[in-house]
Formats: sequence, C-alpha cells, structure tokens
Amino acid sequence: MNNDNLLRVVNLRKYFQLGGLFFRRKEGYVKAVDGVNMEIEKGKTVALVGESGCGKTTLGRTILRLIEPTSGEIYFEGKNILKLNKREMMRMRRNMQLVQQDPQSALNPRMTIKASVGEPLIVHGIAKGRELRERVLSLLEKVGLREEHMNRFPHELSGGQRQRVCIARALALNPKFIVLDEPTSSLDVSVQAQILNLLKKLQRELSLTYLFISHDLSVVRYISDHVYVMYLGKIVEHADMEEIFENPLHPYTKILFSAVPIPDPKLKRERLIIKGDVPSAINPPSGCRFHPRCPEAMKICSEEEPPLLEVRKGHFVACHLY
Amino acid sequence: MRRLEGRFEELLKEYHPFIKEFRHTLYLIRKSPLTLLGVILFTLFILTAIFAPLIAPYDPYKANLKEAFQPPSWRHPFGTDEMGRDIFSRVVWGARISLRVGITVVSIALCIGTILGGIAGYFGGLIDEVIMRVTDLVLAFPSMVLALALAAALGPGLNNAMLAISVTWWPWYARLVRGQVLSLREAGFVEAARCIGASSARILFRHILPNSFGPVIVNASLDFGWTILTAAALGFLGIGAQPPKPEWGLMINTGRVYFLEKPWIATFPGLAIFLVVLASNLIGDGLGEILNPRLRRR
Amino acid sequence: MKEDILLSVRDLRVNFYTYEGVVKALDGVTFQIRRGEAFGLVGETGCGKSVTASSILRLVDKPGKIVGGEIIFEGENLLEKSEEEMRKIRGEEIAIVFQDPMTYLNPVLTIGEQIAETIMEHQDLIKEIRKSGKKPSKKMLKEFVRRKVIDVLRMVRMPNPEMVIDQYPHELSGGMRQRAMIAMAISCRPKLLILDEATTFLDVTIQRQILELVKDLKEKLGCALMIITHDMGIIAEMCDTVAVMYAGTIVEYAETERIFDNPLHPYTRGLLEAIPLLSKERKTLKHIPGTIPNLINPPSGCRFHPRCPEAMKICRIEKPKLTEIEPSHLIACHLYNGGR
Repeated sequence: MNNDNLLRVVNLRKYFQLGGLFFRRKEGYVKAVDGVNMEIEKGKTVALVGESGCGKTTLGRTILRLIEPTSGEIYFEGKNILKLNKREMMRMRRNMQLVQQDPQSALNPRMTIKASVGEPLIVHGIAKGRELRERVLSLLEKVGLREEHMNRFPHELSGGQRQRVCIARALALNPKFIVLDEPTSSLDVSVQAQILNLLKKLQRELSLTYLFISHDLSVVRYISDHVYVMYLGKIVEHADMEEIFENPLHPYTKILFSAVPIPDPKLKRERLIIKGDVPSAINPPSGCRFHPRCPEAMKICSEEEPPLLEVRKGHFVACHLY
Repeated sequence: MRRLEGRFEELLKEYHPFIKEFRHTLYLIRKSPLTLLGVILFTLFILTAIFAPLIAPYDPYKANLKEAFQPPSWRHPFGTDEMGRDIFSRVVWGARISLRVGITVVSIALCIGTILGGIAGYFGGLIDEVIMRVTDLVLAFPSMVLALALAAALGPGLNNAMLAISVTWWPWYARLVRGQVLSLREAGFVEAARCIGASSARILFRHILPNSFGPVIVNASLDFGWTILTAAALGFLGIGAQPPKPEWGLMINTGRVYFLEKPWIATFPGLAIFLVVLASNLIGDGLGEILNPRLRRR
Repeated sequence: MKEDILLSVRDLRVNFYTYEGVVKALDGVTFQIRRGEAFGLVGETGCGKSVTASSILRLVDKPGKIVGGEIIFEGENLLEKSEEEMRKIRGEEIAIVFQDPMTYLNPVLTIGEQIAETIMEHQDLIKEIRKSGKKPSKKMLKEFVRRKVIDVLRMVRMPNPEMVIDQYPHELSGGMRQRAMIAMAISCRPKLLILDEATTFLDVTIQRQILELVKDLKEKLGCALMIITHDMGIIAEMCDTVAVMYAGTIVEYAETERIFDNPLHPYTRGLLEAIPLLSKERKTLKHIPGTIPNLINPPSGCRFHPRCPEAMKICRIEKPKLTEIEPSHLIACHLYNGGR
C-alpha cells in the first residue's frame, strides 16, 4: 500500500432501490457503483472517465458521503469516513469539497455572491462580519474575480464567472481534496481553458488533490495524472495518464478514445465504431458488462466477469483478452 | 459621524442588489395594466380599512330608526338599512373585518402548510407519508362543507369562522410547498450546502423555502380573496360574524329579505366583496407572471 | 460557379426586443453554401449560431425579428415568401435537427406516426400509388406509408426499425431519438440539412455513430449540410468550409483546412489555441481573456477588440468589413485591411 495516498476507496458499492416506500418491486436495483477500488495520491489529479449513466457522478458523490454507500470503505488520510458520526463528518467536510457541473444551478439564485461564498465560513463558525467580508474578498481574488462581484446575484454573472464563484466557495474551508464533477462541460472553449488553467494554478499554490470527473478526454489529457475508466458501475481500466493514452488496452477504452473528434482536418483516422447504446444498469449484462457491444468479445466474456489485473506496471485492466 | 456614514454606504452597497431586484419587480408591475389595477384596488381597500374611523361619516353600530330604509342620497351615499344605519359607514368598517379575516386565515394556513409541506418534502419517507395522508384526508372534504361543519361545531362567531377556514385551507399550501421542496431538494445549490456541512434546518430555511416562495406568494394573494369570500359566505349563512357586526356577508344576509324593494342594502356590501376578490385575483395572476423566473428576464 | 450556390445569406440582421434593451443578435451575417457541400458554423454560446439557423427557416420567435438582409435559397429570397410557402420549404427543401430531440418529438405520438406525418404533409402519396398501377385505398395508403417510414428508419440505421416505429419517444435512448429526428428530417430528401448542435448532448461513442451516419447520408442523398457546433473537432472532421462567428458577426470564413492551418483572425487563433488536444503533449493552454460581450451594448467598432491581443486604435472606432484577403478566405479584421 502506498503511503502517499490521500484517499483510498475499497470495494465501494451503491445500489439504488427502485420503487416507492410501500410498493417495492423485487430485485429492483440500479447498480450505479458496483465494487469500485480506487487510490488517489496526494497532490495529484485523478480523472474518472466514462459516459453518461456509467455511475461516475454517483461515485464522486459517494466518496464525499453525499450519498450513503450500500457497502465498502472510504479512507481519507487513513480514516474510514463511513464510520464517522454526524459531528465528526461535519468536521471532515472541511477537508473535502465539491465543484459541480452546472454553476447555474449550483448557486442559490436568491443569495448574493458574497453570501454564497461566505456560507461555509458561517456554517463552520470561522468568520463573520468584517472578517467574513475580507475572507470572501480574498477568496474571490484567488479565483480571478473582483470586489465588484461580491454584491451581485448569480444571474448577473457569466457562466465562467459563476464557475469561479463555485470554486471560491469550495476553497473557503481550505480543503485538501476537491471532487470536480465535469466543471467545464457547460462552458465554452475559451472559458473552459481559463477555468482549467485556474484549477491547475490553484492546485500548485494550495497543494490540492483533485478527482476530476469528465467525459471529455481531451480535457482529461490536459489536466490529469492518472486515469480511471468506468463502464456501467465498474472500473474497466486504470493507469497513469501517459500510459493509458499511449497504450489503451481495454476495447472500451480504445473505442472511447477513437470516438473523440480531433480538430485537425488532415488527420484521417481509422474509426472504431461501437455497437448499440449503453445498457441499463438495472439488469446489467452477465459476465463482462461490455461484452454485448465489444468487437472482440469471446465466449468466456458472457460467462465470467473479468477481474481487474495489473497487466503492465501500474496499468490495470479488467478484460479476458489479457 | 463620518464613520457612521461609511457604515451606511457599506450597508447600502450590500443591499443594492436587493433594491435592484425590487425595482425590477416594480417595473414589471407597471408594465402589466391589470396587475396595476389590482394593486390600486387593493391599496384602496387597505387604506379604507386603516382609516375607517376617518372615512366613515357615521357610527356603523348606531341605529336610527327614523332614518331606516333610506335610498342612496348625498347624506347616505349607499343608503341606510332596516335599523337606519349608514351602509357606507358599515361597508367602510367592514373592510377592517375582511382585512383581518384575509390576513389571519392566509397567514395561519401559510404557516402550517409551509412547515408541514417543507418537512414532508425535505425528509421524505414515513414522515412524508403521514403528513400527506392527513392532508389528503382534509382535502377529501369539500372545503366549504368542512368549514361550515367546523364553524357550526365551534359555535357562531367571527373568530371561530376564521379558525374553521384556516383548518380547511392549510393542506393546499402543504401540497404546494411539498412539491416545490421536492424539486428543489435535488438542486445543485442544495447539494453544495450539504457538502459544506450545513444543517438540515439551514438548508430548509435558507435555501429551499426562500426559493419555493414564488408560487406560494401567488397562491396566497389569490387565496386572500377566496378566504374573504368564504368568511362572507359563513356570515351570510349565520355561522360567521354575528350581528350587529358590519361584516359584508352578514349585511348581504340582512339585505336579502328586502332585496326586491330596497336593493341597495345588499348590493353595496356585495360590490365590496366583488372588488376585493377581483383585486386579489388580479394581483395573484400578475405575480404569477412577474415572479416566474423564466419570464422575468427576457 | 454561380449556379452551384444553394444558399446565400447576405448581411442578415436579427434583433431581439427585451426589457433590458435591443439585443442585436445578428449584426450582418454573410455566407454561402454550395450544393452538396458541408458547411460549418462555429462559435461560442450566444454568438448567434442558432439564431442564424432559425432565421434561415424563418422560425425566429417573438421578441426577435429579422430586420435586414436577405436569404437567397435556390435563387429566391426566403424573406419575401409567404408563411404558406415557407411551410413547404421547411422539411421539403431545408430540414433541421436540433440539439435536444425530446423537446421536438411529441411525447404522445409514436415515432412512426410522427415521421408519417411529415411524409404525408409533403408528398403526394396517392399519386405515387397510382403511378405504380394500383388503386389507392385507405388501407393501402397506410401500408404504403408504413413501408416508407421503415425505409427511412433503415436509412438512419435505426436498430429494429419494425419495433421502433411503434414506440414512443420516451422508450428510446438519446442516440436513438436523435436518429429518429434525423429520419424525420431526411424523410422528404431535403436539399439542405441543418444540424444545430445535434450531437452536443450525446456521449462521445454515440456522437461518433451519429457523425458517421450523417457523413453517409450526405453521400447518399447528395444534400448540403450546415453543421452548427462549438466543437472544432467536429468541424475538422465533417466540414468543407467553415465560418467562425463571434458576437453576431462572421469574423472568418474559409475552407476548413485553411482555417486550421493558417487561422488569421485573432479570435480564430485564440479559439484554436484554447482547445486541449488529445494527441499532443501537454503545454499550458492559452485562453482568451474576458467574457463574451453583452449584445445590448456591444463594444464599439470590432466587437472582439476588448478581448483582442492585437487591438489597435481603429478597432475601437470602425467595424471591420468581411473582405476576401486571399482567394476564398474572408476575414473581418483591421489587421488585414487591404491585404498585408
């Protein structure tokens, strides 16, 4: 076990039950996260990649304990946060924060920017009055906003500015770890670059650790150190960024990488096209969950679930091909 | 002194965004003539209620049999009733009673409804089931019938009537608020608040309820008229306000007997009810559009 | 050369009249699409890409109004057509696929019914049946339409078309819904197919499926494409020519390879440098400072000048015209005024 790990997730599962309180269907579970192991090194950016419905958002929320997992362990600096009681968890929240996908809905439309950014400080009793104002101001300056933005409502800001506000709020409690859930997917390219650069700068200055959830592989390539690829609630492959981009092993990863449109008109690539849609997580396919869509599926794939094995140094794949 | 001024300026800056929002709302009201009409009527109604002693030329309770059944004239603009009381004065004083009914009933219903609906929506599960089934139970009765039965059981009188109406009214708010809370519970800013460790109470009262207030306010301003109408109906049926109170419904009831020969006795209080209900509906409809965030900025 | 121009938009102006003031959403948009060409319109949120598309179909909604310019389609100005004529053109000549299929598919009609509706509105099926030498009856018409719908669904490579035809939109996945939208759009063989951010909501692998499908359809039907997107990658892969839009104006217009090889307008350059690349090694991304301007009080002169690293004095005063500085490479920038 690596001692530099800030966060370690062991066999984490989250099943959502279908149906209401009284009329529960039998065996109606959505297996959003199904036995995930993950290690996040201090000061690094770990990317979690996958398509919609693969459970990456649920995994991110579960790690922050915003969703209670069905089973598993989450160690933050060696402490299992799932064993913490309410008060201890509240203190723990100072260490781990979240930046959401859509900054428009992430800010209370009836609160000014100052109130939104200052709220964590009030909740944790860290500052109030004049000191609060100064703290908020310095947070806003840290993310590239100015004093004039303090007394505005979210709707008066642009998308990029709103996302900066959300980042400032996440930084308010001096966290060590931030889950970034598609922080740039609702932004335009030119603004996306601003935010990505800001995130990198903040990481350097404040020695932050990121879990970067995204479906955009070019962004992941730009920001991450290590990449986890997720498909239907399971990790199918993970390795260091260079390794996985140079040498993707799992058929799904290969297809995913080749699907990205590349802004170079001269490049004519051989395209791998995937069959069908992502199956529902309610009744996932037997064996390897990817086998119905896999171009290289074998007989064993439908029968046995492949374990996640280290095929090369630091490169783990869950596939019967290896 | 200078320090105080600086402080004041700072405060002003801080509240500037709220003032700006309010000014925007005023602008939108001005742009919609029907809402403006509602606001004007309603303001008149409130002013009448407040300044009733100054406006009313006569004592609304003082009988003067010599002057009974006078048709409208300069001396008695709305005429007089069977006891010779000035109807104009009684209608003016009646505004006070109606205002009281509207404010009391709507606030009680709103408070109970918001709290129960908020709790049901936010916590969900068993609490939600229990609260909502009780709500359904109350709503299963036609509200007028339930109010009638309750008022009759509690005994005649204005206070009992108000209590009866409140009891039939809160479930609407509980339902409305619960629906709002359910949709807001999943909002990004609520999750963000949970992530910073905010307590349930803080999330409910700082984040969810303020954002669900738009439709509630709209409903409250619509209901304001309806509760006045219901109270008048109870008064008319004799289980609301009791004589000699200048309550509009009660006045119509007494005027009913003489309606064919002396129509003014019932007409003017009826007109008053009509105008107040109209005003409250106009305001409610207008607010519905003005407070709708999607229509607000275009 | 002139004959093969299918659509020519000249100096198009669209205003939106709002509470805060007049939004000049399009301020002189000019471009051309040749027959069978794939034309790309690229730009960021709020730059007016979608408004351009809805203007071409004359679908600009109420606070908005087309206030100037002309849209010449097949030699005729669409802005002078009656509403009745426009209805025929929409779907039959020009079809559009939007970003979010769920808002455009009717939830209470099956996919088959919706496609059949489009077909029946625009095609004289009874005549067609007569031509094949059979007597048209109601039952026959029904079967005939059904066959046509299944054909169209096959054309968009819908899995199990015989089943999907009787399904409702909510039963389909996002990718399949978008396929259904495309099926509806091509059911009358339009000459111009507009894709307005048609793959933005889809996952990359599904987006890939749709993009390949669109490429094939273009070959098969020979229709021109107008692809509206913010993704330079899609442009690079799909388009022959590109127009880059910024704040309601076209700033650069050229063949795709030219734009990527030799972007001239500072905005185009900034945009291309801001994209993180999958293939290249990492270096710090350059970003364009500032934000997209407010179009109620747009910056004077060139609308890009407050964010432009090469802004000059004249940029603040005079709006640059879209001029051809090299053969078929048009730019609206004072840096290149009158050639270098």
